[in-house]
Amino acid sequence: MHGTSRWFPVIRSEEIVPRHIAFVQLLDEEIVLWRADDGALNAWENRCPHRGIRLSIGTHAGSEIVCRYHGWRFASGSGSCTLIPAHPSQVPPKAARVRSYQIRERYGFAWIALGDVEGEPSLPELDGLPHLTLRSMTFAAAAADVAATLASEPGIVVHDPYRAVWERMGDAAPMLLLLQPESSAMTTLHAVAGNDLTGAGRLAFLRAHNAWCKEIRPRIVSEESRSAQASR
Amino acid sequence: MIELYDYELSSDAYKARLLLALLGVAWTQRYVEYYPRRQHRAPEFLALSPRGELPVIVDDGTIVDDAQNVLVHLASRHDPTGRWYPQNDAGLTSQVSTWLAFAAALTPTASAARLHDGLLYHHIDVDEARRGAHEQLAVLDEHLWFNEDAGWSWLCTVDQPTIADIACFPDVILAEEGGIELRTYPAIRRWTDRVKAIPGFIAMPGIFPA
Repeated sequence: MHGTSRWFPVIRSEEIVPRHIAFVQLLDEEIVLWRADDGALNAWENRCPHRGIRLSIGTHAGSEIVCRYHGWRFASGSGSCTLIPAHPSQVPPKAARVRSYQIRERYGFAWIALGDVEGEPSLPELDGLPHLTLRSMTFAAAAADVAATLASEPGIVVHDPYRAVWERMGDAAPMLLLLQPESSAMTTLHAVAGNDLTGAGRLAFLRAHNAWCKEIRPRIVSEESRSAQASR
Repeated sequence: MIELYDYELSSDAYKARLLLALLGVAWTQRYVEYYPRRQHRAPEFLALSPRGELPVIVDDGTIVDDAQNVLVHLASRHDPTGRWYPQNDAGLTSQVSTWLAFAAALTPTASAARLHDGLLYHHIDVDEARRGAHEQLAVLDEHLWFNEDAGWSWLCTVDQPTIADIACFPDVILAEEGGIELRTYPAIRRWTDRVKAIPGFIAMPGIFPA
């Protein structure tokens, strides 16, 4: 699977709440996201370097994550082990370090790049506009299958395999639809609109988008069934 | 005196243990070996509760069965604050009832998948159970997401947890033991963190404390 050299949104920033370990997946990599008490955001491989236990079942101790299994503690920023409870006076080895990923916060999302990437996350259509992020929705389908369904919707233009723009009639601001490939069979659709609705108007907008996501769900079909349809 | 007919691994019995702990009420355990001896279907237990399900409580001689009903009873009789089962606001009481029913509906889905994987209930159609659980979890995640957006932390629109949260929490968080991942339900994961942070919270096997 390609896509390691680009930024993907993986979660709305505001869903990475204090003292919570958020858990996402990108291109088959399980990733935990957590915000230290000083505000620093971390994106780590979901794996303790000691015995491989998922850190998503660990605890958030403010500036460290504590592994559930043997209590090893890993520091915000470096991912380095700061304490091995079984050997409290020993300096933890340098190799005891969680793998971390590049992370940015822009347009109301946390963005991750798994590999080398040029530039910053960019949504030029929204520059100079406010950002209203909407509820993200996960589909049991490949990104290409979700993109094909988006392309069949009136008003939606798919720009690349993971990004579409929705110019909505009667709506001055565009909406960006961003695909996060979790695996070859699972995709999360994020959405951000260039408006600053508030109150009842905002809630109606959020509800309408949520309803639309549920409405398109049954229309998302695999590439095999699309080509079978086309050759009929 | 409260006697609780209890089994350590029962998610329904844990609902009663959890609320009793949160209420700070003393109780006595009557242990029923659900697996493998199936003592909940033995004549002595059926004489107490013909439905043959855990938990059952005997509270000063009153026999109460059904996990959700046990929560209603305990909160009604042993919570002087009235906050766990609010009954002075019809709209709120109705919300609690909705989520108690939702909790009961997790028994043939999330709970059944866990029994299949963990307690060798191999006659269960686990694919169907998981499919049903995912449909319910999608409903729950959406509800919690919009509640959070409106500033509510719990299942009902009230600023503290109720028995609705206690009823739904066990089978939701234990779903992963039945092969149902919670990763794609981020609002549910945040809510389970909040439940674990309630003062007096206790865990059970398969549930990690905060």
